Amino acid sequence: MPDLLFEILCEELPASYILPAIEQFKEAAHRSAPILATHFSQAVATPRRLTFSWTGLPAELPAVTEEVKGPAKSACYKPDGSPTPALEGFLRKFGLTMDSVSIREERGKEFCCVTRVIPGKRIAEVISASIPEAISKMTFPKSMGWDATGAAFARPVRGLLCILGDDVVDFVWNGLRTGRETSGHRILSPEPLRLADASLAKYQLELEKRFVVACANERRRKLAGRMAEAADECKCNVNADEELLDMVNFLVEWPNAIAGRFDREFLELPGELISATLRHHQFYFSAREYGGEPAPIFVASCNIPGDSHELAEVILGNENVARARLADALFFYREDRKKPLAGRVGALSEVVFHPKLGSYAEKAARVRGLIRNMSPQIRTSAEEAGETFDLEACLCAAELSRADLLTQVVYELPELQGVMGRIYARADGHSAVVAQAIEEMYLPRSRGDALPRSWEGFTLSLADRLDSLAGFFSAGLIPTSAKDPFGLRRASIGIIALMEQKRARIDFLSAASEAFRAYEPKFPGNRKAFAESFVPFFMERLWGELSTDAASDIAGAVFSVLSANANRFVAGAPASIDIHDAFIRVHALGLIGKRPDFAGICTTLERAANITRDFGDAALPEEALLVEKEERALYAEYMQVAPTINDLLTHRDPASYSRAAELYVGAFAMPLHQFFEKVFVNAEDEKLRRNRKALLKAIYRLLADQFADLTYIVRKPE
Amino acid sequence: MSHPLAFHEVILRLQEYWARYGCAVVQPYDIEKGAGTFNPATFFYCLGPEPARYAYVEPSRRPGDGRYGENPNRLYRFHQYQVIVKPAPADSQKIYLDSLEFLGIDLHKHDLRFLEDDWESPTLGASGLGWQVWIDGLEITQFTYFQQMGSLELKPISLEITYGLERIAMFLQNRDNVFDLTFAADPQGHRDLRYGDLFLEPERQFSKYSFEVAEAEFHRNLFEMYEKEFGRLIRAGLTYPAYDAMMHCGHAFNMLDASGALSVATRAAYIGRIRAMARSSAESYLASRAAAEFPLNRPYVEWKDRNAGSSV
Repeated sequence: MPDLLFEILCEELPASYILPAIEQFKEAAHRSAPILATHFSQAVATPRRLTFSWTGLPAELPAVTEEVKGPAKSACYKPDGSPTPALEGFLRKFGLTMDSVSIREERGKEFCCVTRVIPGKRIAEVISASIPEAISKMTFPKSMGWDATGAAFARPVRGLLCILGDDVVDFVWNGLRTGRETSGHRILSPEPLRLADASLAKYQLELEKRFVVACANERRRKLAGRMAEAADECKCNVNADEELLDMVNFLVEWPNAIAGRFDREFLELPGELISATLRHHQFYFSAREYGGEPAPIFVASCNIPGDSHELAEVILGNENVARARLADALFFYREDRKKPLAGRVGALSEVVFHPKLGSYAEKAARVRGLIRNMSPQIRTSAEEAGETFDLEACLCAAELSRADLLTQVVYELPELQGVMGRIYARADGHSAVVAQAIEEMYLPRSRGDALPRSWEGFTLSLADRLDSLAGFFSAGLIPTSAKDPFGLRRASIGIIALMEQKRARIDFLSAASEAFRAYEPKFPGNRKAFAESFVPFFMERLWGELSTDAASDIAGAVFSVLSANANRFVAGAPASIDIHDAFIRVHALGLIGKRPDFAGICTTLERAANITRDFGDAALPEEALLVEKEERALYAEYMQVAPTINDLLTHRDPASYSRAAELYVGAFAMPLHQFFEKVFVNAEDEKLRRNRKALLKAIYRLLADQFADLTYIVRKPE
Repeated sequence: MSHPLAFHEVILRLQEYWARYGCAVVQPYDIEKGAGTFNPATFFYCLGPEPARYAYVEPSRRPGDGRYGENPNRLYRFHQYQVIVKPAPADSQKIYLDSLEFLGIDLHKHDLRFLEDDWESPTLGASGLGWQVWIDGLEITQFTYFQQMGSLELKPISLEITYGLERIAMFLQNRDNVFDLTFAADPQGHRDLRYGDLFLEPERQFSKYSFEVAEAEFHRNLFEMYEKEFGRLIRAGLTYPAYDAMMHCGHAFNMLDASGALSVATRAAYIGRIRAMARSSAESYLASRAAAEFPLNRPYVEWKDRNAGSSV
């Protein structure tokens, strides 16, 4: 039961390529040789090597016998009994002769069959076939060639180590032959390292003696530890940045770190600007004093061993570079401060948002219009939450937002847009509310990102995204399944996240419709884009988000109501969608879904919905027309609970939704069931029939109109 | 080493190293350019199947990077040391590292890294994959496996190593301002010649020229004239003179770009025009080499053995 060790030794790979490359190789190798998949043990990686280990492989794969069905018998033989070209071709494929043919009947038709034996294979053969194929199948964001073989990879491949048990698995990939040799650290231990066997543990141990920590997780842990120690020597803490650490971890084979100093003068710069400068250009981490204030210290990864004395020259070199970078940043920052943000707003009319959609100045004007429009509802919502909404501050933030695009700092470090807007706005004397909203406009940047805390930031972020969506959809710049160059999916998901988080009484449909209206002068007739492309696109995102954390039938019950509203709105009828409310309903319904009698009523309700499908909505049941005991009982329940349920549903909070649903299930589960057992809905008498349908429809609509359509629930009755 | 290398000694050492490696040490090309890649020794010689090994210093002009001599490491005109090796050797990185040791850098005491860099020259229609090489956080070299030149796919692949000479000298001399670099040491030890002695005043004047004095109209006209000349020459089959005209266009464009006279769209259009010229140059060069049956792949034919009238 030998182990297998395989290493691709390369020139330095781009850091971001490495983890996806490991997955790709595994998938390709394991698809072509499933036996490898079941014995896979571990992958380790550094910037220069991708290494895979499998354990306990069988030495051989047994032979397999299988019957192969060929052409129909009628197509196989000529009248004289000799084989047709079809049969000859079939036999040639497997290297067999006429004697091997047997006839098998299948569904009344006869076929020629052969039995073929797939011979057993030594595992080495399997490996030497599937591994080179898997390497060739790997793809990268950018690939390159480096020699005459036509080999393509992210960077040149310089060595292939492939050991099975104690032996080399011999194969050649693009002129490169496998062996049992690798090497250590590029500079400290470049001589060949010969490995005796396929043990991953020994491989790692030998490499560690040669200044390579192969395991990415272990290296990351050690690197973080060394960074903390280096910072500690300077009496400060490293500012955590997991993403940067992930990246830097694939810039070193040996996990070491140094701390360098810079002049206190640079602490005039905002902490965010110091961090971004160090990170963007140099992959350095910033640091803070134990007390929390920014420290004049940076921490850098280092690919050679040594402490701060041994690495004094390395530290000095890095300090020179950091100083030059920070000097540039300070120069830009001071230049920027000479002109207030408000003084830059005018120039936004020269900055193109998108050629078809005009400038950022035009965008800001539209966004301000949307904010004004939403402000009464936002104010009410803020007050309900015991908070405030300052319309003037929000409008001011909308005007100043993106003025920071015209500053030198943001030109150099685009990742600081919004952040510098907040900092410069505050420095210009604007209120903290305005400054915060400018920064919060960019939130959430991605799924799961932080969300605006202030109502002003929330409103600005929402209005800005609605405007972008309306603009691009009006201009016909609609995402395709493969491409979404303007991030419209992200913008939609952002809107949904904003609405989910804050209990804002905003009707999404009218807000979005307003955003489209603002583009009407540019794109007359854009209602068509709203109705036909935007609403379906957005509803699809909304469905995705609603069903992420809920059972899909529960989410579907609520979504169907929203979807019907959207269709109604598009058709010109009054209808609204409250996204926050939708999430609450899904949650409430999820809780009630755990009741044992829930499945039963959903099934029964489906009958009620089906039987009244073609029944108009207007009629109400009349007591005088109720004949049977069961229908009278059902009617009595309805009359008793309907007003309470209707009232509860207007509250639109989790507790009321839960109570309404509880009440509904409790009231109707039994009588509705008995009704269908005993009462014949499609009675001869039209009056009776209509009245029964009216009753069923009323019960169905009680929840389906405003809360959830329970007929979407599919689960087995208990 | 007793004292760190002066700027001109860095050049001498690299010349020696690469000459010993087997590169022909050729000279800078006498037309303004933004980078050593524009030198015909790189642009042309990395095309086609013939081998290429060349090394040279290239003074490079980037009008937009001028800082009036006030920035410690940004220059209007700086020096690259350019090495081109085709086909790229299997031990490219090792050869490069050895050259650093030849400059007296003890790599065991410094943190050397190869950081992902996708190099591209939109004007030349050139691209390659490789790295920026950092030493103790300082970028000192661009290391590139060319994939395309003149918008043509390359085979075999060339290795291009571009040393930033000022950066390397600053590292070796531990100076944090480029103008303080020792350009040449005084053997008597009285007064070394500094980089600033030679280049500070030109930096100021050229910065003023490109940002304040240059007239867009003049460079626009130059561009048009040279572009026209390019067309005439390339049609006449005069690849090398045509390429010179293209280089002049490149510099005129850089001047226009520095003056801020170009909108985004106009800028892209100029780049596209130069790229088209680069492509025709590359195609014309390859056609003429093919017609000559790629001479470097065959033994040299002595002058006296050639047929009269066969050489142009």
